[in-house]
Amino acid sequence: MCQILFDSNVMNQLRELASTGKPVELPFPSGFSIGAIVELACLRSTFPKWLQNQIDRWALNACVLRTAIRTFEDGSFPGRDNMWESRYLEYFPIRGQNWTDVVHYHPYQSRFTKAAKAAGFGKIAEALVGALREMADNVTQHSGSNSENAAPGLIGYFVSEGHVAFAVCDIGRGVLASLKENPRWASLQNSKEALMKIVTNHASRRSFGGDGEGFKEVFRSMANLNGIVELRSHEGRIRIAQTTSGRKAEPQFTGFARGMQLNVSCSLSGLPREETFPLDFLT
Amino acid sequence: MIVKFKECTPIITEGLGATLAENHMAPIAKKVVEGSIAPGTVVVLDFDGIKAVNGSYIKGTALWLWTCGRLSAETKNAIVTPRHQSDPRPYDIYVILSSLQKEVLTEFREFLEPRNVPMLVGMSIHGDEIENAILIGRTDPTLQFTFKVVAELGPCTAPQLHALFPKLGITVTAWNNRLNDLHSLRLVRRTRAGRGWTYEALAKRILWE
Repeated sequence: MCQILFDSNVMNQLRELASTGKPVELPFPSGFSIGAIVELACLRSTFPKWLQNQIDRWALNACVLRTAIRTFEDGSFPGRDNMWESRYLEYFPIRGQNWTDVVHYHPYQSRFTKAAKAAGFGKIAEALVGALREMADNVTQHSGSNSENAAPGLIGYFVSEGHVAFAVCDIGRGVLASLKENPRWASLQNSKEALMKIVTNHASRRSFGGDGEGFKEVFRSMANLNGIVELRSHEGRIRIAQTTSGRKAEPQFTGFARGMQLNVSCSLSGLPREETFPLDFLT
Repeated sequence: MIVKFKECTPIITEGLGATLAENHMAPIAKKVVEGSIAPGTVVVLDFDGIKAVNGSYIKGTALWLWTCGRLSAETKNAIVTPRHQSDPRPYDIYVILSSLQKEVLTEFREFLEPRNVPMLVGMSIHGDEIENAILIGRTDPTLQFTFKVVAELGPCTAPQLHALFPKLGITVTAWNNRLNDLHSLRLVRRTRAGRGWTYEALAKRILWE
């Protein structure tokens, strides 16, 4: 059987398949990116039964996916997989305001900071950790009608030498419904448009105070890096490739999946890439 | 009224994110909704012990209060009914920042300037008295000049300013508009004086940088 590496492109195909409703036998993944794992774990319960069964079969052979699913579904912590010497991977479930928890979340972000610094990111590490925290806060702030009704979410990071990736996923109302609360963005027609407004106009649900701050912080943190930001919500998708010489955004429609999913992948050198790690290391 | 963030729960040294801002502002937001704060109150946001803030936190704390005050000073037509719990609502309230560490002050400047929002940072506060303060953020040069004049003179009216500066060629109406704008920007408060208003800077003395 052929094997595939699960990254955001494969996840886009998977969303298409899931939304057609026709069961398909998928090849066994030979590896995952952190974005794909976080997304599979978070969206699993929203996918059709045939796809849930396939994900469960993959999880049997991939401890990182199993841990991610358990972390998301139980809302339990730690969701930690100390993989091998030079690489580091960890999840955190978002439930309401638990990311403000000084006992659990603060040590989590401090481990991320240390790992990123050790991977060569120096002071940029703190900015990347700040960006992840801001995105975690976005789940609390925007996935439901208010912070008390926030949808559950999952975040995760993966660090290797010269490379940092993190992912944030929730199964909430999506960016379109959130932005439409602001009269300025009430006429948006679809999630692709909504994602474009977030990225290019810093659109925010809040009707006061100007630009939204969250994604600004993400792009600010990546300013001197090569990176890829993949943002998806419902039927919209936007992929932003950033190099030190500029940024290019490609909006598209994709298969429907609930909530919002963000993958950020940065490297200190070379072209933007989304690193996948082989399954052999993860079982 | 003083809000000391280091006494807010959870105990933190960083003001990061909208959720934390909402939590820290919850007691005062509740009072705003209830209308239980005296109109014209100056709220001092005390950042003593806070080592870092970000844009979302500033937006949910200082800018939220400032916007409530600003909405109260604008015409009713401009007011959008709050749709969300965290939306500001018109309330005659003022905000002053205090005890900002260098990095926090820089973050405030970077946040306020592109938004054309001016704010005062109290450098010496005794009880309810703001002895001296600095102005951060952005005001257009005309308003900045007017604010300097008001801060130097103490309580004053538009006709008084017109009489004091006849060579400037600024009419009473123009002075009045400028003072009204400063009030809307929450830099001066005003009290009725017959058919007009008397304006006064929030701090006794402004230290110009």
